[in-house]
Amino acid sequence: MTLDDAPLGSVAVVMRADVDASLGRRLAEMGLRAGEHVTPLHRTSGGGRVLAVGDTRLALARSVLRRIEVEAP
Amino acid sequence: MTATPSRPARRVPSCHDEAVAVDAPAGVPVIALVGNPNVGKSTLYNALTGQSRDVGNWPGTTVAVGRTLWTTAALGDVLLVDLPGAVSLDPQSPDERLTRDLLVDQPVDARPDLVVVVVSALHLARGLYLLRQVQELGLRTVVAVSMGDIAERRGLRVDVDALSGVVGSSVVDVDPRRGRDHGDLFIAMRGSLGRAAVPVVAEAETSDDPLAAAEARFSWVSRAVDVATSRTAVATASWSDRLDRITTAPVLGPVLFLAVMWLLFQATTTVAAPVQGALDSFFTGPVADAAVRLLDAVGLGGTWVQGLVVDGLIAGVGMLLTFVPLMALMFAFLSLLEDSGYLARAAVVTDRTMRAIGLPGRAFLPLIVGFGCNVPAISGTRVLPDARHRLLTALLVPFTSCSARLTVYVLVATTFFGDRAGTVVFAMYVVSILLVVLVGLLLRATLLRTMGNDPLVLDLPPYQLPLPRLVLTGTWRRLRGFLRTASGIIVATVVVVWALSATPALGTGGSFGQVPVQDSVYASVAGTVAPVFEPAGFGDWEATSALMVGFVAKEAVISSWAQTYATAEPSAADDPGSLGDALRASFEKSSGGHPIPAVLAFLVFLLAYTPCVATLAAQKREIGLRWTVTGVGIQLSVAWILAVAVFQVGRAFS
Repeated sequence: MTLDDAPLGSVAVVMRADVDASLGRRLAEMGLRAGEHVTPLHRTSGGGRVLAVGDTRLALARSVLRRIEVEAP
Repeated sequence: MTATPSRPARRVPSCHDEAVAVDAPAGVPVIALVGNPNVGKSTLYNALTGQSRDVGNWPGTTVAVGRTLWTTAALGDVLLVDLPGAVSLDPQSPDERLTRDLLVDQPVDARPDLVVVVVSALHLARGLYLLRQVQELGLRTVVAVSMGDIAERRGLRVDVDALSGVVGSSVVDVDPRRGRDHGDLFIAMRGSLGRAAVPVVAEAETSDDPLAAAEARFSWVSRAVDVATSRTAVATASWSDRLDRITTAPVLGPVLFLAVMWLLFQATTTVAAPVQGALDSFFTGPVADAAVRLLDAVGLGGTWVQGLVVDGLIAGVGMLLTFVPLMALMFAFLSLLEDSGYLARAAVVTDRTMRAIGLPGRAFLPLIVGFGCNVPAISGTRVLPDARHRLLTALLVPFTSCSARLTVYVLVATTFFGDRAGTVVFAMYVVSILLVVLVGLLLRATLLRTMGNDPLVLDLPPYQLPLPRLVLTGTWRRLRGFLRTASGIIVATVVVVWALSATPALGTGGSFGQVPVQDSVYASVAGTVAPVFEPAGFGDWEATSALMVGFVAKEAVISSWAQTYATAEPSAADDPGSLGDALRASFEKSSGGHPIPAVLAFLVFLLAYTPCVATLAAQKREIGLRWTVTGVGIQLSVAWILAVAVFQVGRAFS
């Protein structure tokens, strides 16, 4: 499943991000790396989601969420 | 101080080509502040040096580089350099590239002597990643951990001693927001400057693959975070999260955003307008009267000196000062939105809409403000962290129809369209929005082709209560900056317009300061320019001179007409009186019997061309002279082409 359809409020583990290198690096710097835990918190206006990565809160567009594969821990 | 390497003076690069570089005096150590965006780096810089830089709860408030030659008891003289926020040293934006330029793309002996890496306790991993990259360059580093208080409230504790042990640099706690003393930081800086820098055996050097190097850094960071942090409480849904659920929600979010924008719009129009009006009548009334009496007393009453003082200098300074309450409100509002953290949420809400023209969501704010007044809107482009986005937005703001233009629309529409005046005025706003979208697309396809449009990936900083002190100092500093840049341009332009209209044209026989406006150099310049507008149906000197005055301020268009047609200025914009008759006759003649298309063309031109000289002054401050002039060229071209199109098409159909 991807971060776009991972259930809200439960922890998921990042598997891989199918994005170009520069966006991939930015995501990694913000904490979205393979093996990291992430919790989708809620949907945002515009179809994206707010994610909790540790104590960081990230707002991501849907187009990015769809490209990040996650699994249940 | 011990063993600080001495070396020749060097130049510190700046992100603006024209900005002055500060030479570090020989032997004075250079200390650079770096950190992720929004970790309190500029606040620390202010707390250390007493200098004010923009501080906001918004990533990227440091745009240019701040430098202070700073004399301290603990360190002696040092040059402190505040660099733009950077997520890493792999540049993603122009601001990050600048940080990289200063640290990486420099000969070894021109690099800073010490880099203070400011790290947020909330985002320790992200900050340590940057630290690792700086260490790999063989630079001395000190780590300053900020936001420890917010982290503790969230049940997260960072042990600075343990962290120091794993990362191999001195680590100290700082709380720049509340301006604590920074004794620990001084000691750490002094100690570090005294040591030789030991290049870290870089992960980057063990592998040619940048991805592998990044992976190695990430695992180093993970180890350090594990050792140095402890959970004192189970993280629960914080009130910041609960608030986010509302502020970014699909329906409530936009509603709340519109409410905030409505407040901002009201503040910059309804609240500021009476104060602006009062200031204006104060300058044209008591101040001008007092000046006239004073000049009478010294025997200069009624001479050109009176004209220069009253119609030139006092009018110019008065116009500048009428913007002060407006700008102060705008800046205070911006500080509040930034410092509280709401701005990042507003950016999420508006993101999809704004991306249609290739701008991130937060560009909405300056564009909305532009409908009240373009001048604070231009300054509002600072909410955009990327310089290219700031540039594009600042070029688009003049196409938002400000309230000064509205008074002219109402007068002209009531004169020519009677009952349908409301529809015409509404149409002007629709055209304004279309122009913003179309010119935006046009610029992206031409001048700003290289501008990136990455999808939304945005850090939401925790909400915090804005500190009145930070809001007030931020407002005052921005206001001071505006006055400093804008005052010269505005006063000079008003004086030049006065001088031109006081100078008699050749062969009219008047004397300087004693000439009716139609016999002045100003009128003859207008007459020379007028043929340009013939294809648009308003190529006479009367309409042209009104547009020329409108270049200075749109408010002046109506009074210029009143002066030109020697009629009384209408008491209200929707009651044109005898001015209306004069306008109807004038447009009838200039358009060759097609006044309606000519008037529509005139309105479109008025909407699209340069709003006022104060907007240009604000633009010069934000995007520089070259782009301001380019912008004027774009506005005049778009306005002329549209006006001609409207008149020619309208005439064909009428």
